[in-house]
Amino acid sequence: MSFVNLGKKEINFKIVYYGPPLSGKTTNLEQLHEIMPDDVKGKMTMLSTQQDRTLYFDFLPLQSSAIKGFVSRFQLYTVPGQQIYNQTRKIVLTGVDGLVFVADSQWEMMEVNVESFENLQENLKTYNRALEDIPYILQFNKRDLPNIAPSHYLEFLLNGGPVKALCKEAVAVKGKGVNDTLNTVCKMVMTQFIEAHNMPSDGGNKEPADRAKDG
Amino acid sequence: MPGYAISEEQSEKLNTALSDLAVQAEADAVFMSDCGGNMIAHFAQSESSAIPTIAALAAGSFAATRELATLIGEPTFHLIYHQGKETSIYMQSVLDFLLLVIFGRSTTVGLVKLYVEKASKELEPILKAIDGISETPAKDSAHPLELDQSSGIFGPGGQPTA
Repeated sequence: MSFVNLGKKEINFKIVYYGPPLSGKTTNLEQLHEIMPDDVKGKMTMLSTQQDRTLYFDFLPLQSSAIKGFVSRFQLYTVPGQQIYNQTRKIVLTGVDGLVFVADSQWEMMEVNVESFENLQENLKTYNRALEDIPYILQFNKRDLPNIAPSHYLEFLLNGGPVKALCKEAVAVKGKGVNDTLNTVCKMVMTQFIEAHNMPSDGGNKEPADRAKDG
Repeated sequence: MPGYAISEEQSEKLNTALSDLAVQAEADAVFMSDCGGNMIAHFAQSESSAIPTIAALAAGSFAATRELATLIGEPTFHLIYHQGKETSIYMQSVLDFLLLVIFGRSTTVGLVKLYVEKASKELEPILKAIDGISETPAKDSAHPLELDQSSGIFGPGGQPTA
């Protein structure tokens, strides 16, 4: 749920990285923190267990001047992938503006990818929201591993909804694809925001599916 | 999801209420965030890059506490107090928002609680007036919203990779 402070000329957006356990959500944020210039990024916070698994969420604030005349603040969150933390995942989804679903490309992870994707949709329903109404991207991570499903198979499993999401391949551990994913979802979120306010933008008159194709 | 906006006037009123609270309660900093972790106003003795993180953690902490309340049959817990050796944190919900006070040993939690209650009453009408997107950047025709993609969303270092 975007928040605009007209006094400070700030617009705040919340982006959540969702996905099954160990799919690379935290790694995405770590790599972004590494890549981003100092004047753009804030402190990265990780609430992890002693085994370095996400317990509550990871958080990385970024800022941009992409919307002219305003400072756009993006708050990036991950959710804990483990099944027992579903309540926490629901909490983190509060007021989400954009989503990145990080899927694990390994064959043996197909079932948990689908379970996590269904869980995302169920959790959104608790806020009376639907995935189709929120800008989101499917990121197929771990493309460097040997035992991976083809991207078209992952698309078949995860991209059969009414709105076709944009898909991005990534090797998050090497930083490949993480910046592209973030830039694309942020652009989609800002375009939706501008459209909602009936103001012109580069993608102002396009349908959501067309926006996704543009990336 | 359209989100919501606060006008310059509302922003000014919130900032005044928070700075008054900080002075009266002798607090180091006072923050107001929403339940999604957005910092909507703050008053601090010194600016800090940790402010967005404080809002995110406070909202998360409060949401977790609300779930705990539900599990034990309470409708909600409306305040949280973390006592530190030198610095403490007091959080209280005000409507759907969260008021957070950071204070040191120069004051007491009782005093903070007293002034937070008083400030809450002043803040409620201001917060109630924030309704959806009735106040939006689109109303300000001098500043039409437009995406500037000339240097990447996050500057030259944040350009999309091929």
